[in-house]
Order: sequence, then structure tokens, then C-alpha cells
Amino acid sequence: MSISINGLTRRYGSFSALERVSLDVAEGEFVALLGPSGSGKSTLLRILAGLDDPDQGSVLRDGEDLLALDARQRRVGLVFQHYALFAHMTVTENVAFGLRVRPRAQRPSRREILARVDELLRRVQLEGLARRYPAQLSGGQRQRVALARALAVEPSLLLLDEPFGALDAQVRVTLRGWLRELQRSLGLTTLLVTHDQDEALELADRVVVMNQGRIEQIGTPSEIYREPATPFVYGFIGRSNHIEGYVERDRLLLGGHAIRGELPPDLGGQRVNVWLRPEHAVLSSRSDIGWTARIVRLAQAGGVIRATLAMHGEGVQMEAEWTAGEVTARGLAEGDTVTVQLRELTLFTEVGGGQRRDVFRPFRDGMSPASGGAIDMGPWLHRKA
Amino acid sequence: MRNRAMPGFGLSLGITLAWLGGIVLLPLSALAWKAGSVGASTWWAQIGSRRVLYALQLSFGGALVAAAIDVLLGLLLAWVLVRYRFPLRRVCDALVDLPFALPTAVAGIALTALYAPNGWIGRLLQPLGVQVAYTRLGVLLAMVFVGLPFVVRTLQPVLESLEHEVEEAARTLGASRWQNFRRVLLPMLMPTLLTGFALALARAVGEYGSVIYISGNLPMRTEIVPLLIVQKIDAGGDTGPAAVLGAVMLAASLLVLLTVSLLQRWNRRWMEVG
Repeated sequence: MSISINGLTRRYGSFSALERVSLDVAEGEFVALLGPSGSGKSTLLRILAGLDDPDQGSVLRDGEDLLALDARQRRVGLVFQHYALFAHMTVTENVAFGLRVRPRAQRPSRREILARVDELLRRVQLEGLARRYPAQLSGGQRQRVALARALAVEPSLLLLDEPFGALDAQVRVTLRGWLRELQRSLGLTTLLVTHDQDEALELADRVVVMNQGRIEQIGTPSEIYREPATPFVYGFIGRSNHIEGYVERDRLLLGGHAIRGELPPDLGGQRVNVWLRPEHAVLSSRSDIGWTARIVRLAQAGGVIRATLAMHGEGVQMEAEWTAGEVTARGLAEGDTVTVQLRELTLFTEVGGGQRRDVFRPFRDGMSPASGGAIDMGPWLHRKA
Repeated sequence: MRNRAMPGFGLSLGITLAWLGGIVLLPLSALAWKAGSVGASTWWAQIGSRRVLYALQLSFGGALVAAAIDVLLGLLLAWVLVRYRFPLRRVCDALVDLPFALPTAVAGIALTALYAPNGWIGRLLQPLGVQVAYTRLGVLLAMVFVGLPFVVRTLQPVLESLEHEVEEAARTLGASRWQNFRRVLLPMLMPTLLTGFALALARAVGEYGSVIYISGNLPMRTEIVPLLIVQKIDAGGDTGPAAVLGAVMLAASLLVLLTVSLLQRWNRRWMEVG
């Protein structure tokens, strides 16, 4: 079923947990709410589940007012980070709970309940463990019981609150793929709360990035990663560098250097926040084109080498990612001096409370190491994180 | 058994056994030995006495009922103290321990003064035809009074550690408040309630000081076994009859506590990993 959230606001005293949050979720869609702790994502989930009430705003489920219903009547499946299983019940009893507490008239027969439990346990691959108690299960198994329990009541909406947060990395990745399959096959509208961006980007059809009770951006995983709408999203998703710069006609002044390229004319004379991904700081093939830097640290990070660079000039530090092949071919080591070209920079400018975003691709030869000293950068340029 | 986190296993075990042996088992065996050395006729004279039988009935029956009442009241009290925030909550919390600290005789005299026909509360109950002091009801009241803190204090930490999420999960699954309490909370609290029950029961069976003041000690009606034992010793001469009564109480108490312990075991089977 489709969900339409409109202007939801929730305050605790002077703290604003949710501030006019609006979001539409289509039938069968898998949406991830991603954000740091305290960003309001769990509050939103709790409001949808009926465990918390908003101060303002509405939630419609297929046009029907969801907030008017008590948590008991919402038919919303909720899965908690710490499972919240009934420790004194067996796996079967846990899964059957939602059916057994129904009023007599709506309650399926004993046999129907057991059949349904069996089917669900098969679905979550726990057939052999029906008679175990939660204490006798592993974390991954417990979370699957919790999921089966939530699914037993045939919810119209599935809410997952950091469901893999308490599991170790390997189990987490396995369960992730499995959950995606399950969700697709059920066609169940699903909201996942997580602070793990990999999880959000891998699982969801759409990702909602939240910060301080507000939605920063809504988009597909690739939109979120490739076109972050705000500095917060840029910094929160993936790895990034942030430098403050200044636009001077056709040049971007950055850490004591001038970079030429096509710049929107109306940005001239403005301070900008410059963001770039480590993979956009590439090793230059010519030492006279680019930005000179000293390698402070080289670290192996999965398949790539992560380099911390002290850029020549005004003390800017930058993180770059190169392939292991490149690094070996050039025989790079910590302390070496290299020349780096910046491929794609995102410029954020504050405009009337919002953020204007421009992508700046420097010319190939738009930057020369020597140009640095000649420019008077002014007091507004200083390194930041 | 090397490489334990805590050193001194041998020493601590030694102290534990010495303690158990010297302070608990030695006096109890002396009691059993004394009771065993009196003749069958003394045994029969005691156990066969109607007065003793009534006293046994009151001591154990009263203690069982009192412990049950303590469990209900204690659950309510602990629940309110843990789940709600209200003015003077800390004061109320501290008051729970009062029956622990108060000399039992003081408690007994205070209860008697309150519930005597001319006491503050007794005066109000009198017109309703309810008399508390000098009746079995009074005995029960004293037993409830001394046992209550045990239930509250065992329950409190467990209630505090219960995850709210479990109740929330039950709610989203459609459980009503009552179903939540009956099917989720109560079973999870059951082992602890049984512990509180056992402690309150043990205390009520052994209680002497507070009961003897409010009971009036009417033979065959409001006499408890500990009082009979004291009377038999006070009477001077042979301590045999007192030892017999002591042994009977000991055996009955053991039996009751063992039953509770078995119940408890069965009730917490879900806690064991394996």
C-alpha cells in the first residue's frame, strides 16, 4: 500500500526530532531512511508504527488516515534492532503471537495458525528451529524470527529499525541480500531505518537522507551518491574532501591555487564550499599540470590505496584514492611528492536558506603548480576538515 | 580449572562451606538431633495435639496467603515505583524498606494500636463488623507487612531491566494492554515473582515479634507455631517438645521452599541456553 507523509513534526521540549517531514512511498517500494543518530529517522518510524504521536502533520495509507488508528489496529510490521523477541516463548509461539492475540472472531483456527507459522518459518529458513527459545538462537536467526513474527499479521507496511545493527559484518551482508529478495517476492511496502550507508544504498529503491529532523535529499542510491543535493549529504555518503574556495570569473581559487575551467558567470566573486570525492583526485601524468602534493600516508583499503595528501600551498589536506597498480607502477611511498589533477568538484553556495549546487570540471590543463604563489588569496581561504 | 578471571576459587569455596556448615547446618543438625532423641510418645503428644495442629495450620496457611498477597501488592508497588515518575517517589521507595528495619515488636505494637477496636483504623472497621486485631486476620496482616519488601525489592531490578521494545513489539502485533500484561510481562516476571513469593513466605513462617502482639495468642485460634515453641521453652525443663515443633517447622518449610524452587526452575526453562 502507498504511504503519504505530510508535514510531520515532532518536538521533545525544545528539541526538534522531526521538522515538517514529507515523503511519499509507493506500493511495494523499499525506502531507506539514512542519517546519523538523532536525525529523526527512528522517530519517524515510531510514529508510523503508532508508538509515538506527532505534534503536527498527517500520514495517509491509501488515502486513509493512519494516525487515527491505534498501534494495535495499524497492521504495521515492526522489526527492532535488538529483536525484542518474547524470551519465554518458543520460535513458533513468537511467530504465532500476532495471530493468537486477535479477537476470537478474527482469530484463525489453531491449525491455520500453525500452518501459517510453518510457512513463515520456511520463508525465513528456520524450519528446524521451531521449538527453540530465542536464547538458543544466533543473532541472525533471532532477527529472522522477529521478521517472521512481524510478517505473520500480514502487515500492509513493514518497518525495519536498524535490523542488522547488532549483527556482525558477514551475517549482515548475507541477510541484506536475503531481505531484498524476500521484500521483492512479497511486494511489501518497506521502510528501513539505518545509519549504514552501504546498507541503504544496496537495499533501497530510494534513499531518504535525514539530518537534524529534516530531509536533506530523496533520491535513488545513485542520485544520492553522484549528485548529493547538500553539503551534508556529500559529507555523509561515501568519502569526501571539503575545502573552502572563492570564484574569480573563470577561475576557482583553492588553497593557494587557481583552477581554470567553465564556471557559471553568476558565481563570480562568491565564496563557495568545494567538495570532491577521493577518486576525483587523480595522479597527473605530467608534473607540470596539476597540484603538487606530498604523500603523508598511504593505506590499503580494500582494492584501492587511500592516500592522505598535504597539498602545496596553504596547508590543505586531501584524501585521494588510487588503484594499487598505479601506486606500484610509480613506486610511490610515503613522503614522496606527486602531482594531482582534480577531475570533478562540487560547489555549494548558500542561497536564501537553501543550497545551490554546481558541478565544476576543471580544464585538463587548467591548473599549474607554479601559479599558486602569484595569487593573493585573501583572508577568506582557509583549510577546513 | 586454571585461568579464571577471579582468583581464589579454593578459598571462597572454603569460606562458603564453612559458613554454611557453622552457621546454618550446625544449629539445624543440633535441632534435628535433639528432636530425634526424644521418644515417639513426645512426638505424638506434640503432633497429635489439636492446639499444635491449629497453630501449624495458621503458621503455614497464613504465610502462604500472606506471601500471595505480598506478590500482588508488591507487583503493583514495584510497577508504580519503576514505571511512573511522581513527586515523593524516592520517599515512597525508601519507605518500602521500613518493615526490614523496624524492630518487629514495634511493628506489631503499632499495628495492634492501629487495628485494635479503639484504634484509628479499627474504630472505622468496627461498625462494618470487621475485627482485625486479636483475630487470624490480624496475624495475616502482620505477615503481609513483614514480607512485602522482599517482593518489591526482588522485582524492581527485573522490571527496570525489561526492554520496553518487547511490549512495543506486542502492541504493534495487535496485543491489548491486558494481553500484553498477561502473555508477555507476567511470564517474563514469573521466575522473579516466585523468588519474591518464596522469600516472603519464609519470612512469614518464621515471623514472631510482630505477630504475637496483634494476634492476641488465643489458643486454637490465633496462636502461631513459633509462639508455641517459645512457650514450651519458657515453661522450663525439657526442651524436647520445643525441638519437635522446631523440626516439624523446619521440614515443612524445606518442603514448601523446595516446591517453589522446582516451580521456578520449570518456569525459567527458557532462560537456559543449550
